[in-house]
Amino acid sequence: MDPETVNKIAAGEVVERPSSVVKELVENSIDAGARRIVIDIEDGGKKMIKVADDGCGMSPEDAQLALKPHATSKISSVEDLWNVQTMGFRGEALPSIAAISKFRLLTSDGTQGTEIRLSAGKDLIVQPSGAPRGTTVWVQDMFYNVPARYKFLKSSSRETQAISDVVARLAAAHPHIYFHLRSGGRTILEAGGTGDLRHVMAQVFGNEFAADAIDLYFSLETVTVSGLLAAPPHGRPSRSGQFFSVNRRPVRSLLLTWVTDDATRGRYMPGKHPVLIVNVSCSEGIDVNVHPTKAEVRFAREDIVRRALFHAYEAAFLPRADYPVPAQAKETDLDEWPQADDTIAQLVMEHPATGQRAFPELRFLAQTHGSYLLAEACDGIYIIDQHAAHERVFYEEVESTTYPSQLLAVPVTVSLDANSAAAFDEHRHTLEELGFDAEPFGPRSVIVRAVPGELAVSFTERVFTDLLEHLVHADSGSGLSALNEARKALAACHASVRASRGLSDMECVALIERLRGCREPFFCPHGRPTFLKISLHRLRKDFLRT
Amino acid sequence: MNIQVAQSSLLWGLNIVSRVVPSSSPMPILTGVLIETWKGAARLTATDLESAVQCTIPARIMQEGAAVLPLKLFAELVRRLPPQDITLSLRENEMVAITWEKAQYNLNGFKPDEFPKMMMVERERGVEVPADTLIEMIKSTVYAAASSEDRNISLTGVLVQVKQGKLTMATCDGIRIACISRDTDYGGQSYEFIVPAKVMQEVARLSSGVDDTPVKIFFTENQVLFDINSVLLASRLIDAKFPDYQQIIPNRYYTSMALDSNEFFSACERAALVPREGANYIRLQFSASGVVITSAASSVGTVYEEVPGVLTGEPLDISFNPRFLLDGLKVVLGKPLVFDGTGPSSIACISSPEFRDFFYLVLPLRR
Repeated sequence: MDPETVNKIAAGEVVERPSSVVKELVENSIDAGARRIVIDIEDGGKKMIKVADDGCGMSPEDAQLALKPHATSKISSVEDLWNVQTMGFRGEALPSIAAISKFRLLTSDGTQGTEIRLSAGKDLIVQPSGAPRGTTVWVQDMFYNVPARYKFLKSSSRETQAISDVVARLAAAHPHIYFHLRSGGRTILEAGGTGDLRHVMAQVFGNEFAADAIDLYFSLETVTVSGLLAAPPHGRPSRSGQFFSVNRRPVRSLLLTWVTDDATRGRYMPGKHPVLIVNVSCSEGIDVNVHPTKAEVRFAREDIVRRALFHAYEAAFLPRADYPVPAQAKETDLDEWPQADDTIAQLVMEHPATGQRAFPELRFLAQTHGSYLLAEACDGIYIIDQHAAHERVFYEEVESTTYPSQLLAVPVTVSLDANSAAAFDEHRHTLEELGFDAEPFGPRSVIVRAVPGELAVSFTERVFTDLLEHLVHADSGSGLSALNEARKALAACHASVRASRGLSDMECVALIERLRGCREPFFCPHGRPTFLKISLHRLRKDFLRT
Repeated sequence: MNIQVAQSSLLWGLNIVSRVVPSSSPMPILTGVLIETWKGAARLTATDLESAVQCTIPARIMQEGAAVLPLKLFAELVRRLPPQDITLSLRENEMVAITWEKAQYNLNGFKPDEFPKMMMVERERGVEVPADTLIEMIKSTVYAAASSEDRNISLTGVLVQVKQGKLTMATCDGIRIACISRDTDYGGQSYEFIVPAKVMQEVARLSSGVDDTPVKIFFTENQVLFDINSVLLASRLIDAKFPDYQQIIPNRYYTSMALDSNEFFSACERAALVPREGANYIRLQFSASGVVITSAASSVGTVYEEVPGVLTGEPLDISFNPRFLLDGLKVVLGKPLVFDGTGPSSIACISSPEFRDFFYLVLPLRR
């Protein structure tokens, strides 16, 4: 293969969309010891991305070397791989980016300035240039030479959203660095620089989350967990507000998510996930080289990480407990955790959908944990997920009826963060179809003059921001119309409003009856089961009666 | 403390103060009632920290003092006592001995000095209103207050405006506004404050059956005190800004219809039975001959009903959430009714020429 093809293939792994370019460039800036990083984008980064930092810069020789594949000054041997302290090390990023854009780099190590220009990885121009210490990179017309990939880029507002998410996660991992993200000259996010994590949380999520956030800290062997957790009831309908980093590198980790869900279960309203910024620092035993974008991470000692994070949450929720808790103190609890493999086998007893399709005759027995309904039928016990049931019932309602829209005597003003503002722009028409009448009201806020009739009484600012939040994360690739996604989202919001209010017995009976009337009563619109069944047969067997 | 009281007056007093008492509380003493000797009588106080109720009952004082007993249990006991004098005396460790005839119950109490002080509301600024007028005003408005604090806390209260010669109450839950004014002989400066709707309901309850004794309302920056025939109800005010509802009142109406309120209300109530599920609305079509009420639910059936009325202005086709419509109609039930509209997707008004200075504004549904 010729070098051009090799570079394009490599680019495919590292550079998927503008946000990955921003991630690579900003990580370089962080590795260069920058204190201020200013990111400018245009048209969701598709037209232009500029990242300027005040880091150590490069000498003319290093600058040229940086554009050669697998040239990195960050590691030199395989042993270093398990001990990587810098953000990047693969030496792939710059050449990959340069291969698919019009690329310009201006850098100075304080003594000598260098400017490098490349188009699609070719036509290299290197010239001395006057510049302050630091590095500035321009990436223009991304994928202009790879039309096939250009086609897969999403709308500008979506790409902006993705970039804003990337920068927010990096800012949360590096509170001592000042980040400034602008789109078309308009500030999208400004965060950090003070080293105060609470400050960053306020800038990223809003003051209400940061005001009474709880400090997280726990140290166990080589692992230290630290961060900030927004106290209940402040949560989000998705896990989008959970920023994890490992050794200050933003990551997504099933392990960390799982421990978080487990440790915070029952502390937040049903349908709400905690908002948090957590850094796990681990002096050894981490493999970040799982994926070229390094978004996933593997721990050599998962149990220690799990335990440290769990104790950090526990200490946070019990501020008076003497912590750090000795590592041994809770050992038994942890051993009793269901292992991931057997949970599904044990808890999902017998799915109704796999047996007969007719909705059973149910007699309501009780509500438990404010979120499940217990009912009996002639063939066993049924456990209904109240939230999922509500979602299904309400979803079929909004789907089948055109909702009249209730006009408000006192309009509600809703302030939005960057992501929801983008989602509002994108889905405004859909929201109207659902029965909302909302229009922009100053920068980053909208005024709601009418709401779907069903929400007349329960509508709050929160319902609207939650709805937009759902839309931001709606799976646009599923082929469903935006309207359908919005209906699902609305149903979810409605259900969580209901859940937070609690149900009387009569309402529980009514809910079961309404679920019976549904076209597809067995699943919520997002595909989760609405109920589980423990058959009489199974009960007899487990009580050793057969 | 050692006092003797009649069972009947003690039961009356406990009933009066019981409403504000939470059945359980992180502060257990709040589930108690404070009993203290005061000017030759016994005074009962209960509070949930937001509001407090106090009343005085006749008593024979053998020894001055105070005690706090768990209210629910104590009231249950007193309700079952024979109608005669009973003695309450404080023993050691906050225990109170309740004795009559040959029986003695000892109940564990709380420390009286830990009981929250009744809010001290200065009786400087105040207005007097006849009890029946006050009840009428509260009942005409309180139902339209918001039940949840989520949207705007000011909407969970009743706005009270005191002006020269006039007292106004208004509520608004974001979708409708109920407002009523009555004349008073108040001559001071203008004030306005927001009283929690729950407290207003309690005021209406305590005011019923006090005949024509005027209720005295005293208010400060952050508290209000209702003196209802010597029963005192004090409450914190809601510290928030009430929406400027005056601004929402339309300058003119394009449609106006005079109707029989009983006939119209019953028809709307019947029509509202059908669309319970799904799209919950009833449609009103006002024309020269009267109003046609329709509603439908595909799974239930359809409704068509005509109510005669006299139209002034333009015909109107408008839809409402039946609940919001019925709430306003209930207030003017039995009186001639006027329905005013400004258009199919804008505010409408319910009022009655025989129920002056009341109006109910409600926003329609837009289909």
